Amino acid sequence: MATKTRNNLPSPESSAEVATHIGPGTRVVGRLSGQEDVRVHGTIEGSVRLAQTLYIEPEGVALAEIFARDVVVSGTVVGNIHAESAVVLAATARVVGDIRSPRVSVEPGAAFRGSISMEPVDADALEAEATASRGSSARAADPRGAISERSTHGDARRPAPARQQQAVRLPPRRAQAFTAAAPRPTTTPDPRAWAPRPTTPPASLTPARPAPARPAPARQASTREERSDGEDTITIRHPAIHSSDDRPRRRNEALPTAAATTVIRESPTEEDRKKPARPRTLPRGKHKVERVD
Amino acid sequence: MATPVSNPAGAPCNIGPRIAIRGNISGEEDLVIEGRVEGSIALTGHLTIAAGAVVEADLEVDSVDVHGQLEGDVIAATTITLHEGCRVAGNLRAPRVVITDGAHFKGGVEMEVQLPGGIQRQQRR
Amino acid sequence: MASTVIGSSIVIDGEVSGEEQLVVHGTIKGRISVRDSLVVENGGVVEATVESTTITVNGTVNGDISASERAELRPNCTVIGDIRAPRILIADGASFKGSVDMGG
Repeated sequence: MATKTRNNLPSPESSAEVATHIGPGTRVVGRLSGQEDVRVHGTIEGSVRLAQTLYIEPEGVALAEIFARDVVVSGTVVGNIHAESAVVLAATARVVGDIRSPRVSVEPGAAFRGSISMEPVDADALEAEATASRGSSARAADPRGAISERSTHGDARRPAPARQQQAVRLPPRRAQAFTAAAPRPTTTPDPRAWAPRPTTPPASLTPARPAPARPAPARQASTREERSDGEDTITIRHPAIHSSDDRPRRRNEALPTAAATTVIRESPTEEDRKKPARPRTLPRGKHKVERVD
Repeated sequence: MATPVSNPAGAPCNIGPRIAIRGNISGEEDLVIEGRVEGSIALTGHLTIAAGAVVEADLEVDSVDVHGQLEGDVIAATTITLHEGCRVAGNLRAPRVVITDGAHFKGGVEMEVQLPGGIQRQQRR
Repeated sequence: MASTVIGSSIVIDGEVSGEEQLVVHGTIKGRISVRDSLVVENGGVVEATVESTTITVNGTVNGDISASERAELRPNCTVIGDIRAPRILIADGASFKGSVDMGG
């Protein structure tokens, strides 16, 4: 093993018991993995996964993502360094990238730009390192490991996982037909609801009814909407408007209750037919059913 | 709030271990902090954060030696040195930054990095 | 003389190119192009197209070999692939499958 300083850090001047070294005129592009120390005097690009120590010698250049147990940099590194044990930037080091290691030592004279995090290396990265050095090609675990490290890192720049796609289930576009229809009544308490919108967040399901409407029937309305999902045309459902027990409701008659509205199940085509007629948002507190053909 | 400190005796200004300051400190001479400072520090001299000190402030100094706890961004004109046993969280910007083994640091470091020609700096940010 | 030595536990998946001698004890997959010489040691595995001046194989090579000067297959080596070189030595005990083109 390489000789260590009294702090148990690998020192840059360790004896060359190491077998693997990349000479100054050699360039490796791709993935390098292994279970022994590697000294780089030449250039390596891509990724490095070692179970032992990586030495970047003064004339060495690594443009790579580095995972190793220890990393001693005396040369140039552009890339992130993940070490299980320690990272040493010697006086001639030039590093651009993030360092993640329980111990980091930046010696006077080293040039570094990036962040340093001394949190323990993620288990993912460790496992990826082990499997990679067993000779199999680097697998998806690597980027996963790196990314999960980053997110625990609290790195705000890293975008959140693409969860948005499932969080926002776009409700069917509801209000478009209305703009094609006759002019809306100006007494619309909630004009927003009818305005055509390409994307409407689920929250807007609730405004899609006259403002004073009771929440229970409105919710029923929304669920029924979603059930008729899948077609492009707008179906506005409101128990007060569409009840097919078409008796006109008197002023003080209550809105159909939630239970009642579920009975009213109109087929989508029926709705479509009815829609172009004049849908009205009814004035506050008064609900009238109009027969629409 | 911020009064330039001048000490004709020549001894560096010392904020003792049982003193806590909240506010902005600015000055033109060296400063040793052994107590607690919250706020910001602007010094054209050398700042020493001693081993028991707790500083939660952004620093703009000529140079700084940290042995204690520091939370905040540091901009130094010459050198930032983190010594063994210190705990630092924040971004460091200086021409020279020295992190001794045993220091605990989390944050960004920005030094002047001259890459050998022909190497593209990959901007990961 | 500067050289590059790839140790026995090292696996490289990619391209190796250089000016100096390359000695392979480990595994290289991809492409190798070194100006000076290539030695695949016993236990070394090269799954790559290989280009060099002098190529000496003691281990395993699975790929085409292109030597501008000389190719040597030592005993107990295994080579599967085409060899193109002006001078070729295939020792007794070498295992070889492929074609030979000496550029004549």
